[in-house]
Amino acid sequence: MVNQSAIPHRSEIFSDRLRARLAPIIAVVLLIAALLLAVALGPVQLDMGKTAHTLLGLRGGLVGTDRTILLDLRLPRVVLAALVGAALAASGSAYQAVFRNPLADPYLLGVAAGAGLGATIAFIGRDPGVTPSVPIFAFVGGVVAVAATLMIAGRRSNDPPTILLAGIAFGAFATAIQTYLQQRNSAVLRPVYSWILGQLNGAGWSAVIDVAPYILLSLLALHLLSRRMDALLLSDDEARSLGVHPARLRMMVIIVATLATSTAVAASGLIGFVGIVIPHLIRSLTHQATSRAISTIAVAGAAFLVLADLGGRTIVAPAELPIGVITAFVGAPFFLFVLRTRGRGLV
Amino acid sequence: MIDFEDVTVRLSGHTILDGIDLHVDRGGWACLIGPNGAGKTTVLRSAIGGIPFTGRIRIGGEKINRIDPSRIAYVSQRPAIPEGMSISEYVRLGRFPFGTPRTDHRGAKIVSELLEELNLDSIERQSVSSLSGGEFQRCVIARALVQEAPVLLLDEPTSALDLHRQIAVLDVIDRRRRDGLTVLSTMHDITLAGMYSDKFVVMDHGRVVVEGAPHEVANGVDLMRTFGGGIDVLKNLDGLPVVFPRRETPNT
Repeated sequence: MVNQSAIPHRSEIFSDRLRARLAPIIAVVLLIAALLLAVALGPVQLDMGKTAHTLLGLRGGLVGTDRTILLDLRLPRVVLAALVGAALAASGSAYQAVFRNPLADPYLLGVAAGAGLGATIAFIGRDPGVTPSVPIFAFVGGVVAVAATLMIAGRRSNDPPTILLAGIAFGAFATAIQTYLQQRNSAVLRPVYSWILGQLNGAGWSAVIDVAPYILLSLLALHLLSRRMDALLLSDDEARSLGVHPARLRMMVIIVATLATSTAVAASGLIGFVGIVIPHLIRSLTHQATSRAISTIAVAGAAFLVLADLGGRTIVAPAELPIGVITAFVGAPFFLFVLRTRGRGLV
Repeated sequence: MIDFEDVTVRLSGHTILDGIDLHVDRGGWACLIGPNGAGKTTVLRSAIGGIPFTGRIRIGGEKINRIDPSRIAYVSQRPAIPEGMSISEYVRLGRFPFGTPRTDHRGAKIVSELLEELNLDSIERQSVSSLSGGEFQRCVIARALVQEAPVLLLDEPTSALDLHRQIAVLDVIDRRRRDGLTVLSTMHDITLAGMYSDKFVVMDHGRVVVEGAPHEVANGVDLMRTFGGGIDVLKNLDGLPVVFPRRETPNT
């Protein structure tokens, strides 16, 4: 007989259904709190109450310089951080489902290498420093890299391991070209390096307006696809028997997630770790392995990046730490802690 | 209920299925028998669109244009084991084509009924990746049965189960067959197949060699011709065939 008395290893304090219902609410509350903290704190401390009043358009809000700092400096940066965080976390989760691989991250198919190459080319073409063409080149580089990866995989692009290997191969190729270009143009080393570490400083409303449509549309598409994405956790034949066309769905998800990731990279450089740590954390807390948690994952990713950016500009103020350093520096140990304490069922 | 007409599958120059004609009545249980590579799994995969074919497959007289999970359910020989997913989440995957948990009221009921019937209810919160082969196989069968489709395709449904679990699981399916479920399965264990199916379809090299009631088809001569080598066929107390491969050099 099978051991029927096996003790469920998951905590019984909160039922799975309750967890699934509470998680999105907690994530939204966390995001609002993070947004409020992030716009109020900084070299100039803003009054929380007045800040909230200003944001809600109520009377008694901030005036003068404080108002300008809030609305024109901090708010666009914080909103951009939220959008980028949501995009990276949701596309990481989508890639993990599509490739049935818990280690898949948004940069898997060569987006990072392609965007890095694009940015390097843009820096070489201009005076050193962030120029408007860098995001465009990075975006194009990322999209071209994924398109090339899928073309290399060719007819076997329905086979996840083949796509992964093609992505790794193309990524190595693009990185080689990037390194060669950097060697030939040592003046761009510094700006490229600081771009690769990820940054949100100097982001104004125009940057938000540039990226918001792509990211919001991709997030909506991923949310709508998420129920069918669950079928990709099964084998392709099993997915077909549930009425899903695995190759077509996989391609759609890859295209949408690539669009979101490339946009995020174009806006903020390469910010690591969000795409892996947030999906795992949320799935483990909600006990949902399925893609239904993707909206919660997006909101949590937004909150995480807003807080990471806040840390980046306050910890060593008035200097700034690159946000990519913060996400890895805080994210990695925290993730390892969770991994060790929770043990099973995390993936 | 399910009809295959002249179904042919060719893959890179090789003929895998060569004009298969097959019919299973409503409430019938047909079992595909044959050596490895005979094309049994390909017959099932063609019915769920897993492989391109020529010819026609009909369910209830209607040609299949796109796979409708409310009409056909499938248990794969090699199911994927999703990491970190609980048993109840996994079984509920079979209901996802029928709406969200909020709109699919029937879903919750049928899922909990099947978890209980397959003795999975007490461990439903365990992760499927932590289960034994037999426990997971029951989950896969539960996931297929919650679709409540009139046709069930089973590819080696009992290969990971111990002796009594085989009977328990096949009995769950057989109860549904009595209520009108149509089953088409592959099984290596011909003796076990004979206890449940009313029709044996013996296949070799992508063709149907012979078909008929188990006690007619499962005779030593026909089986030896298909499988090659010596085969002994006895009868059990119910008159059903008991099939053994014969060892050429007996153990002394």
